[in-house]
Parts: sequence; structure tokens; C-alpha cells
Amino acid sequence: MSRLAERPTALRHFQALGCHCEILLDGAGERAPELFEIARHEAERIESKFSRYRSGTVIDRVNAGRGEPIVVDAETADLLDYAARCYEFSDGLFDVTTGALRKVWRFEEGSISVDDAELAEARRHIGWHHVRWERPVLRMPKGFELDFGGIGKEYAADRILQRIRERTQASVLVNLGGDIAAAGTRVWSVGIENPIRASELIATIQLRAGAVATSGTAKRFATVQGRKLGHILNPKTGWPAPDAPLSVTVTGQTCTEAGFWSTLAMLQGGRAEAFLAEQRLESWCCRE
Amino acid sequence: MAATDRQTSLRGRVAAAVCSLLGIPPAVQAAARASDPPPSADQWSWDASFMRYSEVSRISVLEPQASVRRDFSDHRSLSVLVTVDTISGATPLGTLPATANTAPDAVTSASGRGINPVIGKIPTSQMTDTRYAIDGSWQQPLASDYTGILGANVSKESDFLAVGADTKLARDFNEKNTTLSLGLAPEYDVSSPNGGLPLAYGTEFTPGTIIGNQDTKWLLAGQAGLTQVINRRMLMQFNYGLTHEQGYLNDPYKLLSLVNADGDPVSAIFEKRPGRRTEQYVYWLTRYNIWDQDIASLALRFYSDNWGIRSQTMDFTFRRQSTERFYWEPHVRYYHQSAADFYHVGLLQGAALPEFASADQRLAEFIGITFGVRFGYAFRNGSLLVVRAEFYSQSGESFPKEAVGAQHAFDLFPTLNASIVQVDYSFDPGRWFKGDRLP
Repeated sequence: MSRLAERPTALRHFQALGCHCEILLDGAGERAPELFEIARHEAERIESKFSRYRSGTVIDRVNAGRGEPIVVDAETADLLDYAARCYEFSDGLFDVTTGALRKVWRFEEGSISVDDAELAEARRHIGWHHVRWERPVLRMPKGFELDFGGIGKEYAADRILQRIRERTQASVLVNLGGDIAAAGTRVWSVGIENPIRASELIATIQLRAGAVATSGTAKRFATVQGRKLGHILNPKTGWPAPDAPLSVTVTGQTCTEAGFWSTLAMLQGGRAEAFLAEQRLESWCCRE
Repeated sequence: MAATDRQTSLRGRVAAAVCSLLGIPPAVQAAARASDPPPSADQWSWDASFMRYSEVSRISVLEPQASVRRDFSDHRSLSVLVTVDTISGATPLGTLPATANTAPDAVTSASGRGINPVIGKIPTSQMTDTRYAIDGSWQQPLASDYTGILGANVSKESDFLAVGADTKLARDFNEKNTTLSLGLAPEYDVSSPNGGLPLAYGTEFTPGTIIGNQDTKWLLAGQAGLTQVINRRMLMQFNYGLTHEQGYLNDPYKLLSLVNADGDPVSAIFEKRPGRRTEQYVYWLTRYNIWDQDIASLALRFYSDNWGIRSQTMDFTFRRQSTERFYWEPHVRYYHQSAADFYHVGLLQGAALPEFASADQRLAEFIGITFGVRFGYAFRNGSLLVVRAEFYSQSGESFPKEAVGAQHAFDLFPTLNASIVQVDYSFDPGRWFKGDRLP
């Protein structure tokens, strides 16, 4: 009942970054519309800068290149530095160069298929260790593709939160398609959606300042050659991680960090829960 | 001599009518002449079936069943039925949907949909359970024209145990054209809910709400039946049943929401039902042989109990014997019930609690419609394969007047759709014995 008194004073929805975005403000008063606009602009800026699907973006320039050196801006360089560390921390499992791999897997409802020859060809065009990154110069071998898909949304959530908090002491929650970052004094309740039945929650987290990210797939598993496969590709094997949970939710100080752990946990497949426990992360795994 | 012939053929027709009542295929029934010798030796027959009941985005049930029956040469028989039910899925808690004020502020998901999925959706909980049941019964002639059946059954789930018995006495009159039966079935149930036994009207997640581990109830069901052959084409059956239940009749998992004036569900309490229930029904079945082997059946059932529920059922089947061995049978069923007196969608916070209240939708007013078809094929060796496919749809008051504030906007009784598929394979050597003599 006391929760009812502390509802957000303002809420704004918009579409950006390929998902539904939500900004909640508590205590921003009349500045709320201005802060919403800042959030929206930041989301659109990040989307237009790092989208794989737009021409002229830095990603497009890198992917269309023929292996020649490309000088990147500071923000892209920061992301590449981060990607390099993720690759190292994850022992090669978290890799921003798996774009070629994703193209050869066909994910349809209940079935996953791949052509062996295409897969072998794609595997020759992935691997961060083939990339030469000497800030600010990036050399991607020909046929390689850079994809910030595994980082971008979480990064955007953190950035939008920063942009708003630079201008207000109000409590803020940024929700980009389920990846959440919050700051301020207010305690927000964050439900974790049941991936099997979307109208249900498997748990509710009380979040003050911090972040939550969920990795997984909205689609069901498919069984290929007797193995239950999800949709998260392991760059080392070229295959989706077998026996992965349907979803993994992790809390963290930042959304980018939470997203790293939830994605990495998915790649552990059947070991996801044990892996998260070893890392002492607050997490929720949902399996069928 | 002529009289004897007439009587003999009449007995054959009666036997045939009873076969159709009991659902034995007409291919067999046609051969079941009075001139057939009774089974000369002890016989085994058996039946195995598998059923899948599946509600859209709610629960599903898988139910394998097996039964064996031993017929002794002196018309005594023993049968045993074993059932395993596995139930899993989402079941409504009884609480009202979250509103924009009570839903979580945000939802994290892998889907990226972002729309808060909880607002306006009936809250459910996941459940899985397996029930094991065994049912045995012994039938024997008692004196001339009298048959007695004595049975016992046990059913066990992780949180529920039922032990019951049933006795039945049947008497044939009037050259077996009339059968009168009386049955009595006592049952004792132990409910031991997961998480403990909640206090009725106790608040969820509050100390003191769990008051024990288990509670019990008993039940006594009586039934009187009359089966009457009206003429060579028509048979009727009338039943009257009276059941009394006493003890713990709550559903220990069902909750009721307390809402504020805006309709926000601010807390939830466990339901409270009366400790006694008396139920009565009348049932009237008519079976009519349209042609030699095609049978139309219409059953009507009227039910009422002292909780205020009145229900009416109409069930119609038509069995078409397409070939000597194959039949198909369309089926339509209509069911309507009124709500229990103490059914509420939720209660107003701060108002005095009524003596009893439940938000269990099984106690609400609703209409259930079933339609489906059954196919049967009798093999030459006496075995029978029956496949049944049905569709069930249940709808109630989606926007009840009783709803408060924001709850008016929500569908509080979403239409429930379910499918039922059953495959049944049975073997009866008696059927083979008779079936082999088909012309």
C-alpha cells in the first residue's frame, strides 16, 4: 500500500534501438518533458551511430571495408576497448566479430538449421584474435563483421541514465526492451518476465541504484542432432550453446556489466547456474 | 413355443440395448443373441488408454490408464483400474490483475517487448503434480435377479489423499426390461497443501497464516437409478444422486484480492468456504436406435447444491456405424452453471469480510461447450481401437459488475479453450468369441 504513494511522477515510452523504451522519473517535476527528450535523443544518437542496418555508420564502414585500417572516434574506441576486455575475460566466448556466423544459422519457430559448408566458411571469418586493434586504428580482416548487438542496448541504457542524471537529482529508471538501469533514491520494483508465459513474472526485484539485464530468447528451443539448442551462438564451436537456460537475468552496478554476465551465462549452457554461483552474482535462470 | 421364441428374441434385444448403453460396439451387440452360450471359461479382458487434455496457456494433463477385468464362469468378475495423471501448467490464483499502480515499475525480459505484461492479466501460478490412483471392484450375482458390486479406490497426489469405497446393488425386473439400482459411496480425503495449511481469510505472506499441515473431509454419495427398455428401439435411464461433504472444503491455494476504491489489488487473503456441502442431481438419458446400428443419445442433467450453484447439462451423441467394424460418433455438450452465493471477484479493502468468500472461477457462473468426434474400429480378434478428439470452450462474465475501479477495464474471465485427445485400445475375448460368429 505504501508503494502506491511512491509511484513515478512521469513515464514516457518510445521506440528506439529496435525495441520498446521506457523512461520513468520520480521527483523531476516540471523538468520531466525536457529530460524525456534528452533520453530519446541519446537513444536515437546511439542507434544511428552503431546500427548494423544503417549505411554510413561506423559499423557499416568497418564491415564494408576490405581490411584496410580505419580510424575510429573516441566513443567507438571505448566500446572496442571494452569488447577486447570482454573477449579476454570470457576466454573468447564474448566476441563482437560473430556477425558472419549469425548469418548462416536459420532460426525458425521450433527449428534451427545450418549448412555445414556455409558454417565452415563463416567460421573462417570470425574471431577477435584476428582483429588488429591499436586505438584508434582498427584493422578488420576482409569478410569479418563487427556487431555491437551484444553490448549496444545495455550501453545505451547506462548512457541515457548518465545523461539524465547529469541534469537532475530525480530518481530515474531507463528500460530499453528489458535491459534496465536506475539511479536515485527511489526503490523500483522490477519484474522478471517468464520467457514461457509472457504475462507472468518469475520474480520481482527491488532495485534502487543499479541495473538489471536479461539474456535469452523469446523463442523455444529446437532439437538438432539430439541436442537442445537455443539461439545464442558460441563463437568457439560455431554452434548455439546446448542446454542453455531460456533466460538469464543478472543484476549489477551497470547495465553493460549485467548484460555481459547474463550473455556469458547463456553461453555456459547447462552450467549457467553453477557459473553464476561461482561468480557470486545475483541472478535468476529460467528453464523449460 | 412361439411365446418362447418371442421372449428369447426380446431378451436379445434387451441385451443389445444394454450393450449400446454401455458403449459396446454394435458390431458385437448385433451378435449378442440370447442363443449365444455364456462364456464357458474364465476370461481376461483389458483396456489401455492415453489421454491428453490441454488448455491454451493454462494447464495440461497427460493421463495414461490401464484396466484389467477377470470374468469368471459364474458371472462373477473382478476389475482393477490404474490411472496416472500428470498435471502441469499455469492455474489462476484467484487474485485480480495488477493495475498500473500495483504492477512492477518495469519488466526485464529476453523478449525486448518492454510492455509491462502483468497489467490486466489474471495472475497464475505454475503447478506440477502427479496423481496415482487405483480402483478395484468386485461384481457378483447375489440372488436371482440381484447383482452386487463392491469397490474400493485410493488416489494419491503430493498434497492430497483420497480413500473411497463404493457399493451398488442392482435388481432386474420384468424380464430384464427394468433395472433398479442403489449405490452408496463413502470417501475420506486428506489435504496437505504444499507450504502448509493456510488460515481461511489469512493474509498471504503474513506470520500466523499457516496454521498446520493438513486437514480432512469426508463425503458420502448416494445414487438411485432406473434403467427401462421402452420399446425395441428406445432405452431410458433415470438417476438421482445426493452427496454430502463435510470438513475442509477450501482450496488451500486459492486467494482473493482486497482492492482499494480505485480497484488496485493491495493485498490477498486465502479463501473461506462453508464446511458443508449438499449436492443433488437428476439425470435422464434416452438412447434411440434409429436404424439397426445407429444410435442417438441425449442426456440431460440438472444439479443444485446448498452453495447456490445450479447447473444444467445437455449432452448429445450420434453413433454412425459406417461399416461392420467402423463407427464414428459426433458429440456436442452444453453446460451452464450459476455462481455460488459466496463467489466474489475480489473484496473491498476495509469493508467487513463476508461469512464466506471465494474467487475460484470454478464457482463462478460460466458456460462450457464441448464438441468433438469419436472414431471406433473393432478388429477381428476382438480388440477395439477408439480415438476421441474434442474441443472445449469455457466462457464466463468477462467484465463483471462487481469489479471496482481499474478492474472494469480488464477481462476477468478470459475464455478458456482446451483440447482433448484420447486413444483407447481394449481387448475382450468375449467380444472375439461373439464377433467371430458375425454373418
